[in-house]
Amino acid sequence: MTISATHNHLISGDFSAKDLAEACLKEIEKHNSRLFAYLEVFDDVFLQAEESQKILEKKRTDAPLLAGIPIATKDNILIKGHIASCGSRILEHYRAVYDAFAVTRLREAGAVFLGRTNMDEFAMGSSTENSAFGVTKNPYDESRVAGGSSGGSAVAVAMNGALGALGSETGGSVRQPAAFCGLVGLKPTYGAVSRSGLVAMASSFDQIGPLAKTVDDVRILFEGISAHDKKDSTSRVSNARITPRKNHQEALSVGVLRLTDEGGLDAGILKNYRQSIQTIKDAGYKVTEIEIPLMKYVLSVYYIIMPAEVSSNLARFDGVRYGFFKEGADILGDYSNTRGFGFGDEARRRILLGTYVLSSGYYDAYYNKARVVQKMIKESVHKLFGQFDVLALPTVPEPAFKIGEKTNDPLRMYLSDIFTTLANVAGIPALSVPSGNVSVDGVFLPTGIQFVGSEWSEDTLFSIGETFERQIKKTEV
Amino acid sequence: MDFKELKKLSELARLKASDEELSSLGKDLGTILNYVSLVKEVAGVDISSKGEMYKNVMREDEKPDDPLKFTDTLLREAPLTEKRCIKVKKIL
Repeated sequence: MTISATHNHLISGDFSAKDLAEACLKEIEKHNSRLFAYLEVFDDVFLQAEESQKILEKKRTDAPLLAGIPIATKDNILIKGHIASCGSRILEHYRAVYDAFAVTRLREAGAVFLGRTNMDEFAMGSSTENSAFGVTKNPYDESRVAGGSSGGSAVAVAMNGALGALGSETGGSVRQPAAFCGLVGLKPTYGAVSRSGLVAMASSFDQIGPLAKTVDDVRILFEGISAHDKKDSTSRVSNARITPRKNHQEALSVGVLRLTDEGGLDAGILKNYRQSIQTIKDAGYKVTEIEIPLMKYVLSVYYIIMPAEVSSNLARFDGVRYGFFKEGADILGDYSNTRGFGFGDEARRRILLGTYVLSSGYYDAYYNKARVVQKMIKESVHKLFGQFDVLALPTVPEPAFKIGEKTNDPLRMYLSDIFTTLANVAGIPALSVPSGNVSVDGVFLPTGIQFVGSEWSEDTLFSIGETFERQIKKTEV
Repeated sequence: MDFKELKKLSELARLKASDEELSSLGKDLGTILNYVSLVKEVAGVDISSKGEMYKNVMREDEKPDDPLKFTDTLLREAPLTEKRCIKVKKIL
């Protein structure tokens, strides 16, 4: 059921916020031991639901759309009094001392927080296999990954264990699991959602983003969390939000990325992408095949700047103020033991990679060069938006892969982010919408298409996303 | 990446790692660096332009909270404490 429809039932008293929470908890009990979406289900769910019920009864039709709606949150988003482990041993027992800004917003709207969801350690990964606590499985084929790093949030929604979820994006961590699990996922404009209370991975890219079953649900969640916050100096006022053209006399123009058979793309994905382009045309949009200049370099830029920021951000985990501590002979020994035993493989890899690209002698060749190329990418993408309202490209280069398939080959894992990192590197919004299935070994695996817009064009993305969603449903019937 | 360099990096990053792990990490990092070196072929890059510069957002340092308001909550998360202070080994 969609959030809007659920809201109407709650208002009419067809069921209570507690009934709804209970229904979700039942689904979690049924599936979570197999799929491992939630790391923890909170013990105060019913108390929260009772509070939400009060809001619903007091405000009736004026109650916020999210009042009483059960939400799952990624384990790197702080909820006061609850553990926020970031999927890492180093924060396994860390209890948040304040609410993330996005959580405060949802709490004020009366949302019910069901629990915290599994993720790749510190959001580093594309499969949720890097969690220190276990792998989240894809509900469509349990031998496959759910995607990542917000894999737990995606599966929580896909298994009906929540109506919506918050994940976080640094390089596709909401959109990729959304595509793998048949959901809608949004990476907002950089600065549209406060990072206050989101544990930092790469601060210049990090954004909290919603996942849900429909574009409208994602829109409601985004509206719920997007606001200016003075506690995040990169949070921006959203008065620049672009309203999509309402009358479609002049159809939106869509630049679709030209992809060929030789591009190394999975054949099923390519076929699905071509069908999706046809769907966009059938819906009446003006479609033009384009090249995205410098697209070839986006992933490299990302995998230089991101680890540089990781190495700096993760320096705070030293066993002094919070988190895991392992004693050494002296203070340096304390640090290196704590970090040496607390961080998992991927975190170590990225910390060292970041330390390397920032070290004197390599700084100009890698980090500085990447920053300049990033600026060139931003400028060339900006130019494209002079010609097109929206860009469209696949979300993922292949459907959900097998658990363990890429764990020993980090570069292959990084290539999963080839289409998603553009939006993060350019700071622009992108919405992944389910585009049907790809059949692999007789199993139908979901995939998605992403619509990418200029800064603050979320409403345009929701508009084309909803049209696409409707059109896809028609073809499925 | 050679072993000595990697050892130095792990010390700089305060990250204890066995020699065996460092050798395997060296291979991974080599492959990754090789891939990201793609950026080196982008022409017309003026390194001195430093990319997009971010502006610092400043605020007045005013209206501090009561000094003890959050102390105990924060200290509960610290691994080692003594008399309402965080305890660390001597630095010098």
